[in-house]
Parts: sequence; C-alpha cells; structure tokens
Amino acid sequence: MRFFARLLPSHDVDALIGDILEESHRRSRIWRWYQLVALVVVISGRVVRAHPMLTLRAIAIGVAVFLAYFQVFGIWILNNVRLGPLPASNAALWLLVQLFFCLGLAASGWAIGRLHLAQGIAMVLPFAILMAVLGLSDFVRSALTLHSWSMFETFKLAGLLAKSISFPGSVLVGGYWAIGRVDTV
Amino acid sequence: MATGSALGSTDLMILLVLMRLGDEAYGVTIAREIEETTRRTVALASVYATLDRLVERGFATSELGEPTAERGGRAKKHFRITGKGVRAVRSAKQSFVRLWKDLPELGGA
Repeated sequence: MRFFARLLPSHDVDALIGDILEESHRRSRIWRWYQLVALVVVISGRVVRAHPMLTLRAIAIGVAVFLAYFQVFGIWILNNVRLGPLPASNAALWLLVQLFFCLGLAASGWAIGRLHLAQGIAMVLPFAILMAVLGLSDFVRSALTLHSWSMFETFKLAGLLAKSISFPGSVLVGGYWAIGRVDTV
Repeated sequence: MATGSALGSTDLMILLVLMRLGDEAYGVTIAREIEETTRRTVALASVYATLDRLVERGFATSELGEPTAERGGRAKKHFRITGKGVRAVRSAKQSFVRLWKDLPELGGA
C-alpha cells in the first residue's frame, strides 16, 4: 500500500485508499492489486488530462535527458573503453548495451519525477508508455517480418520483447526513486 | 462526455445507486451495489472518478465521516444525490421510456 501511495499525485485519495483497505479484508489479493493499479492509472489519467502542456513538457524533458546521457556517457564509453572484437550475437554485449539504455531511461524518469513532484508518477507514466509503445511496435514489426524461427531470430524477438518491458520499467523505477514521498501514507 | 444536464450511463447508474443506498452511500457500498447489479468487478478509482464528476456538476454532494481503524485511520467519504441529480435521473428515465415505447422486441407496448 505504501508503494502505491508513494506513486500518487498529491490528490485527495485518503477516502479511496481507506475504502480499498476496508474492502480488502473480505477480498482476494488479486482484487487488492487490481484496485491499487487502477487507482494509480485513473488518478494519473486525470492529472494528465488536466495538465496537457505539463505532460508534453515532461515527455520533452525525458527525451532531452536521455539524449544528453547518450551524448555524454555514450561518447565517453566509445572513446575511453576498449571493447575489442565483438560478434553481433554476443549476449553479454547485448546485455551491457541494454543496461546502458536502461540507466539512461531511469535517469530520464528520475528527472521527470523530480521536476513534477506534485503530480507524482502521473507525469512519468506518459514517457514510460511512449517507451512501451515504441518497444512493442518494434517487436510487432519484427514478428510480422520474421523469415524463419531460427535460434537467432527467436532470440532477437525475445530481446525486443524484453526491451519493451525493461525500457518503460526503467523509466518508472527512476520516477519512483525521484518522487520519494513516503509520508503520503 | 456528458454535458449540461445530460447523463452518461455510468453517471446514471451511480446516481441510481446513491438513491437506493441513501445515507449508507460511500465508496465500498456503492461499488458493491454496482457489482451485484452488473456482476462485474468494479475499480473503486473509476467509481470515485465518476462520483467526483457528479459532485462537480452539482448532481451529488460529498461529506467526510469519522476515521476508523479498519480503514487505517482514514475517513469515509459519504455521497448523497442532490435535487438537481434527482431531476436529471427522472429526465433520463422519461427519455428512455419514450425510446422503449413501441418496441415490442424490448417489451415495449
């Protein structure tokens, strides 16, 4: 409950959280999770609809921070780290690159969250959704143009699916870390 | 999106539930009543979103009750339908009855 309350914008949600607590005594754990996720999504949706320009600004901040991270650290790594000969199918390299992207996206989420503390996770969600949509569209496009179910193609598809989960996930983790309002509960 | 005194189907359902529950209407009881009627799980946050919209439009009022331990020290938010809300429900009913009429396949005479 504390985790979800921490994500919420500074909205009047006390009565609603009280209702979920009261009713969860006679309901399943799944019902409770469903209510808590719906709480974050519905409240965030209201905040986004109420502040469309702020939402666009948050997305722009996310993109700008990611590009800046890429420029600074990406170029530094390319100039200073000797990578040696790297085959395209090297799983360890792939993981390192994904980790590099995830760290950048977490930094974006952190920056958005930090600059929109009053809105909670609501301003971080649109950028995370954008990342999920981009990742999933990449996955679907690759799945539709798949030539064969070879080991390489299957791993490539699995990688794209992992990206479409880990990228928005990283944005949300960064945003959650930035918000840090545990005193809401 | 409903404008003016027009009601959406969810708005109408919640106003009817407020009328049925009277003084006992708050998030949990409203959601239970809707679930019993529709036989579907209801998100309390969606119920509150509709209730807040109804309060903004003057169809309902809200009042905080006493905090209880069962609710982690949080107060209940009681909702009540207003005169404007009752008139909107009545008007919606009349519109539906007019549409129902002369439709034998729906039991209309």
